Amino acid sequence: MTNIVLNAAVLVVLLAVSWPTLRRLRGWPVVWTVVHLCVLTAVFDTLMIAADLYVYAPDKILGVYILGAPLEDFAYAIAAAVGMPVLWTVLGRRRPRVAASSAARTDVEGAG
Amino acid sequence: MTGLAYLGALLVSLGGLALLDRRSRLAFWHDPRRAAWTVGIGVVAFLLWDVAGLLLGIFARGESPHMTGILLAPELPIEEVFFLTLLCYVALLAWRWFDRTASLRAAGARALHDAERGSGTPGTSGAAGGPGSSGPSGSDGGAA
Repeated sequence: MTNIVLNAAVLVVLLAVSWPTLRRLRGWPVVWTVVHLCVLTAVFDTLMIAADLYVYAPDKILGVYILGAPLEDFAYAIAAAVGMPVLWTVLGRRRPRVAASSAARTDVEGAG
Repeated sequence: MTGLAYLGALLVSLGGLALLDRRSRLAFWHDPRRAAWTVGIGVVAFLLWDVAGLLLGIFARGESPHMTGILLAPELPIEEVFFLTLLCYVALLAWRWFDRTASLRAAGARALHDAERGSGTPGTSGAAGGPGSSGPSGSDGGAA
């Protein structure tokens, strides 16, 4: 399996699992985060590969580079920029839900 | 000495992010447990992704002299954990900042909108309104 197949599969699974939460988030902050992480990846992945921190098997990558960063590596940036907001939102649900239900109860009592 | 360069750079970067986090109370200084779980789950997931890439022979550790040489698993340097933490942390902080900015902007626009409408209503509602019990939303003047 090549890198693009693995990374595309990971992104598809991540987006499918995240979609119910993702669609309720404000769109632009997530898109803006994706853009920023991709720019950071283009710069720092280039530097990290130039520093010989890791090497790629030439026959497993497309060979398409943005600066010095293989195209496939941008999947990590996109995954982080989508995964972190979704995880943060899901993990924060429990407490706000309790607060919201008690607030709703007060509203009902107030109206009655 | 040089073996610590990459790890050192990662730690300095993480420290810089922590300062931004503290200053704006975005993640660990907003809700430490939630931030720890968010970043922690992210790092574990990215490590599994890395392991898949290593097992498939897509990439391998380079010959850089700037790494400590401490490995978590064959071809998986300890620095990778710190790198993935940095990746997750910067993503979380960036999104929290952008989302907060967007939320404040929306609230500001709403407040401005309400203020514009609100400044017009007291006179008209006061003239047309009958009894003082016209509504709970009218906060001033009605009772007098």
